[in-house]
Amino acid sequence: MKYLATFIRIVRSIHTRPTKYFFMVVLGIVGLFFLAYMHNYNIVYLIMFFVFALAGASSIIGRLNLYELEASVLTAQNFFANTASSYTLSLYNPTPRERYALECSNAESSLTVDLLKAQQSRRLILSCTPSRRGPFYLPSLQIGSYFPLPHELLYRRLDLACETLVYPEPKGEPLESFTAKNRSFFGEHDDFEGIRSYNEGESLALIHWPSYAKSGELMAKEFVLLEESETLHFYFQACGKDDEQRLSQLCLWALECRAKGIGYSIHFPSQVLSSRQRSHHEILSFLARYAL
Amino acid sequence: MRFSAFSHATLSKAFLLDAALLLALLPHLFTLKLPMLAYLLLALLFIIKKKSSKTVLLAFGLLGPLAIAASFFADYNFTSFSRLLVFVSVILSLLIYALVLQRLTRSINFYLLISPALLMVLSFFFFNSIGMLFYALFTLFCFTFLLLYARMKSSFAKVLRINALLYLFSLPIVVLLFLSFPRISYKNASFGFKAEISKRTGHDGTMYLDSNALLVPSPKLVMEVSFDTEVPPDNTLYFRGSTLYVDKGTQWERGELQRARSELVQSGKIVNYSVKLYPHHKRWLYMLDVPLVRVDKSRIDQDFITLFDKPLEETAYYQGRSALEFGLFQEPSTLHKDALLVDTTRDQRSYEALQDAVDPQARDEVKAAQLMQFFSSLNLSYSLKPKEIDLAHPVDSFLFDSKIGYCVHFAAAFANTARMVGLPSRIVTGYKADRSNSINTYLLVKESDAHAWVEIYLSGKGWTRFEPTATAKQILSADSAADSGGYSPAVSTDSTLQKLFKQANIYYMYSRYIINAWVLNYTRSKQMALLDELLSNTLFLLKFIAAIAGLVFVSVLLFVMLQRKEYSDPLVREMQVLMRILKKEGFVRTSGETMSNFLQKIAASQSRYSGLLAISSLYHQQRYGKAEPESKKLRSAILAFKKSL
Repeated sequence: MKYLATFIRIVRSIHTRPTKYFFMVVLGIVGLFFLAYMHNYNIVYLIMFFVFALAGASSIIGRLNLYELEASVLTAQNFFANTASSYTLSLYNPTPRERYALECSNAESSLTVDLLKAQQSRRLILSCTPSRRGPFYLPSLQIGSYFPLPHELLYRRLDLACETLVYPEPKGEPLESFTAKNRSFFGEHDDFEGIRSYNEGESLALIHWPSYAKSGELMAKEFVLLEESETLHFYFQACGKDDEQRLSQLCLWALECRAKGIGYSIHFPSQVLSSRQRSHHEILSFLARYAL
Repeated sequence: MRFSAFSHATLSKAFLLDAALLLALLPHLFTLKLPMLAYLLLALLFIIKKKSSKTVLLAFGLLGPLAIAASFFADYNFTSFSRLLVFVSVILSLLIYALVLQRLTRSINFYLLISPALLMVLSFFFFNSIGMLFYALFTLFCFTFLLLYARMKSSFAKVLRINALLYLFSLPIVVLLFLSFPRISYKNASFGFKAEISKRTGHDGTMYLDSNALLVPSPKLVMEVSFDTEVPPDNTLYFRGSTLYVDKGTQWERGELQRARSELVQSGKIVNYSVKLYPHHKRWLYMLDVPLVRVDKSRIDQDFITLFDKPLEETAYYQGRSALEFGLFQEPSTLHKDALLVDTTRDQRSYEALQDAVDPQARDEVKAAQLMQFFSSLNLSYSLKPKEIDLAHPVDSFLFDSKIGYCVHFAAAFANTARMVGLPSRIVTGYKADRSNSINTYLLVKESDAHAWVEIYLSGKGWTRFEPTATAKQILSADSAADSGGYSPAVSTDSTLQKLFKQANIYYMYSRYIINAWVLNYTRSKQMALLDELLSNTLFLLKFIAAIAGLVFVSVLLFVMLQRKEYSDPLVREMQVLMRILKKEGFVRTSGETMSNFLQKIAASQSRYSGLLAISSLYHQQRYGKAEPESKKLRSAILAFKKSL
């Protein structure tokens, strides 16, 4: 009974999908059947029965090949919405027997493991693209195999049960061009210092109109900063048209600031997140979970 | 060479495909016409040399139709193409043509991948024999092996093991399907080259005494007989061939006269048997003396000889039923004179000697016994290499001068002398089988079993068989007792090796017979007979179920054995041996229990297990400590512990 229960469990946990060779096998059996039936051709009967039985035996051995394999997530970090991100899995064979021709895949990527030795594991790096920010379950791992005979694909889905967090998609205006246009984000403006040539892309508010009226040349106003600091101040409400756009923009700037080693503060209507007080991950996590 | 020496990297997909193609093409090499064969071999050279430029492709593209045209030049009419074999040959040639062109392009596509299977199926149209059976099974095994090899990318031995697992799993299903799958066709494949057709000479209805009589004992098979129960005793294994009445001096013949039919009175011992008779191009169907049933498309003549309606050009399978104890009676008036015809002046000495040896007034039975006594008194010898006899006086020459002969000489002399004393006689030729050529219910009849014996008509007993060869006092050395009918002095001249070879040959033939009977010629009638037996004979049903269960058990057992554990860590592998030893002692490691705790617990339980501490220490030092892993050392320690138990 114990073996029967195990067998039923194996059969239920592993699914099949016919391949083009399956239809060849069916066609072959039908052809052999006609040849054998017309003439009581026992050699052909035998071959036909063997083909039939081998297909069945292959199905059972193939199931045993996939059964009992275990997968666990080793690392799954820095997922961004709509961005392909990779994660590392460990595929473990706890049985005392080798496993062959395993094709490990999720919806987006796949890897082939030709041989997984007994009681050994293999690191797999797969990628996936979450479609939205927030809590995210890693897609189940499909372990498939055409082993031993290729007339059907046997596959098993392993639920990785791993929840991770997807940050907003880093998207929007690059930090460099943004700061060039909005130098005030580096601090508070003070007295008018003079004029200089206007650089294309700078805020129209910087244009010194009297000079333009006199000379016809675009000149920009220069100010002395009252408290020039190393911290960038981002205002949530000013970052985009809607929340998702703002979060994407802030995520991009946060990543760029971190890459350049620049401190930053994000001013939400109700609170301020400062990179000097919180870790980068905490800030991105806040962005990921914002209003969810 | 070790299997693992075959590196997977060296065997590419193309190589594996070529191997499958060559295997599938093998039987076709015997069937392809010469132009097509030459085309194929030429293509093979280019495939091996990996030269496949556009010019080569073009050349082979043009050569192919030419080769096909040349191959079927003689069959350019629709009548020929309606013949199955010609039609299949054309299909085969086209397939090979397409295959060559595809293979020369160097790209492996779906068509190429299924080509070996197509070629194999086509070969079924040409051959139907035991050889083909084994070839087909072997080829199928190789195909699955190559498929697995391409997929597993593992060592030769491992692939072989998985392949064996597949077949072990399949075997019980195949056996059950083969036995039970309904058959509608009674006849076997009538196309293709027939199997095991061996032409033979031998019994041909005439018995020669001149130089033609110098025979060479041949081990060639005449027929295979399978009895329903055990093989009957040696002295009843006479297969009736022909009856000879007319002594022409140098030979005995049947004669042209019409004879009255004998009336059969059977007195018991009836046997049923099936016969596989190889083609001999004559009409005789050999039946055990004396046949009770007529075989389909044959007749039993007045002397109870079974004759087929045409010369036997193909192996014949038939069921026989014979009475081993019988009487063949005739009205004395219907006994034709040629059964008594004898020239007493030709063999004067014999005639004179018989006047003293046989009482002319005695009853027929007594006369016949005295005649046998007379032959025994002559000190005759049996030899397959007799001296030539004087054909002007053949009986005198054999009985008084040469005194050496074999069955034909004995039979001819005995039939003649019987007539000299007034007993109607005839010679019967055929085969006298020997139980030493049998296993269980299976009996082999060989060319060397060809034999001649005498039937004498005795008042009140009818035609009665006599075995004059049995009166021989000795077998001359270096001669085989082949046709002595088992009545000659039992002097075996076979060496141990020859005996072994003979025995092995019988077993070989028996296995061939079984395969033929139960595989190649397993028909609906056999299937129905099996079903009837299963339904009517409970003991047989139980045996059948036990046999199938046994097969399943053996398959599963082998399957489990072949699925051996493969621990990659040699230390773990050795420790598994220890775990099995401890399991037999009643100790099983529980889940989560460390190896150290487990071994220490057992060592503490009884002093006889104290050796485990050393093993534990050795294992942990090698596995986790700085000591170099040495599985041999650990194995020695485990073996020493096992011995200490």
